[in-house]
Amino acid sequence: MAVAGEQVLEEGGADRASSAVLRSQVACAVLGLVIEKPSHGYEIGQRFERRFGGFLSVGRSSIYAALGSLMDAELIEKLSSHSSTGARRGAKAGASYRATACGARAYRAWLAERVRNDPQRVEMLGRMMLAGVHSVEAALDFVARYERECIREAQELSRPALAAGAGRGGVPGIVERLLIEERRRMIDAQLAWITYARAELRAERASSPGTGERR
Amino acid sequence: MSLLEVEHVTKRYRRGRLERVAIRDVSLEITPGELVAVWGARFSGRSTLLRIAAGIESPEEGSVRFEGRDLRRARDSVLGRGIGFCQMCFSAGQGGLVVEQVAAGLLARRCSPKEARRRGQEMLARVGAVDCARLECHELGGAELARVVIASALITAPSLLVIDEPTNGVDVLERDPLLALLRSIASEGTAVLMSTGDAQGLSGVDRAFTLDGGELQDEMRSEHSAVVPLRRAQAGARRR
Repeated sequence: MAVAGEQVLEEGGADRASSAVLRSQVACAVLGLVIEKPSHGYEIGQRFERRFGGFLSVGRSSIYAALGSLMDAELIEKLSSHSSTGARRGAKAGASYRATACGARAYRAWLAERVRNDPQRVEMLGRMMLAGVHSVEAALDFVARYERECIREAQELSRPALAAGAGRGGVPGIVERLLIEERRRMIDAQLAWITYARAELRAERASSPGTGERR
Repeated sequence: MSLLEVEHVTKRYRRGRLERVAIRDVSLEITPGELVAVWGARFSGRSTLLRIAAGIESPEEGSVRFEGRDLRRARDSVLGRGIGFCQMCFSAGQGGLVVEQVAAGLLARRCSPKEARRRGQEMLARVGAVDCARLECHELGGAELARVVIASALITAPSLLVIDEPTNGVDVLERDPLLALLRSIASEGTAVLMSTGDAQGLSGVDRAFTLDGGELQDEMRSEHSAVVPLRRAQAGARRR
């Protein structure tokens, strides 16, 4: 599902550099904050502490390192010094960063894959979505990616490697079958949520024209 | 070459002045020997899409081609021959033994009753329902009924089997073996197009389409098409 105005990444996140960067949860959180609002590094550090302090405990140097990695992967870019966007009065001097279209898209792809299986998924889902998914179109794109992750997992639950154990006899075989079935039913619940979320988002789009993505 | 080509198909239903778009601008292709699932919630348009793909209904916009022929024109020569559509029930008027029901498709093609019955028996064995041959249709359980309707559709050797929600009404422990049967049918060369509303129905499919609000959302291709059933069919499971 392409979002207007965004560069389309190849299927599976073909950009290897961004995939490598997004293996870091800190980098992902920083990217979400930059998507939410273009900011200077110092301000991002402050917002990081407020938003993710309970989940991720890192120093400022890690924030700047994440900003560097995100820049190298072209997921964020520096704003020109003449731009007023994101430059807040009182913020410490230094470069101001904003997300690229590629960065916004990569973030949602990572988010969709991540929230599906994370033990703290509900909290993560809420905080990350509030940070980096703030338009109906972006949310619909996230939902589509989430659905893709769920369908892919449902398909792979029948893979021979997974099913071989479940094909065994006795209690071990039954236990493995039950665990696979538990995953299936979780996926069913997730797919039902996706159907509901889509209906809600479409209703919101219909009632509030002009809630599309800004960039 | 594609076996079935659905191109930019739209279907609307009207009731009085109300109009509902069941599917909108849907396109998909199926090649021989593929097992393809359309996943969608209720009212997503999945059943409508399957009926149109099978030639049961005609689209208002777009086209459906089977083996290169427009289904709108070739429907009578294709339905029941090239395309086997599985109705997941027998009508009240369809009495008689299961083997006679399965053989009915051949009798309509001037096959001798004896030969039709023999081949019906063979087909029931193929789908794992040979124990049901001498039963009345109303005696069938959910999984048995699914296997029998599959046999009825396969008896004329179609190259595409279309089946709407094959696991609907089937006991949870019988679903995997039924899905494994569909996988084996596809692997032997008869393409299968099915719909499903749950994750289990996606097991072992080559491709999955997601449908929401009548619109195709995505297509997922599996790298692992060979399904190993999580729960194997029990030999002689029917106890009477």
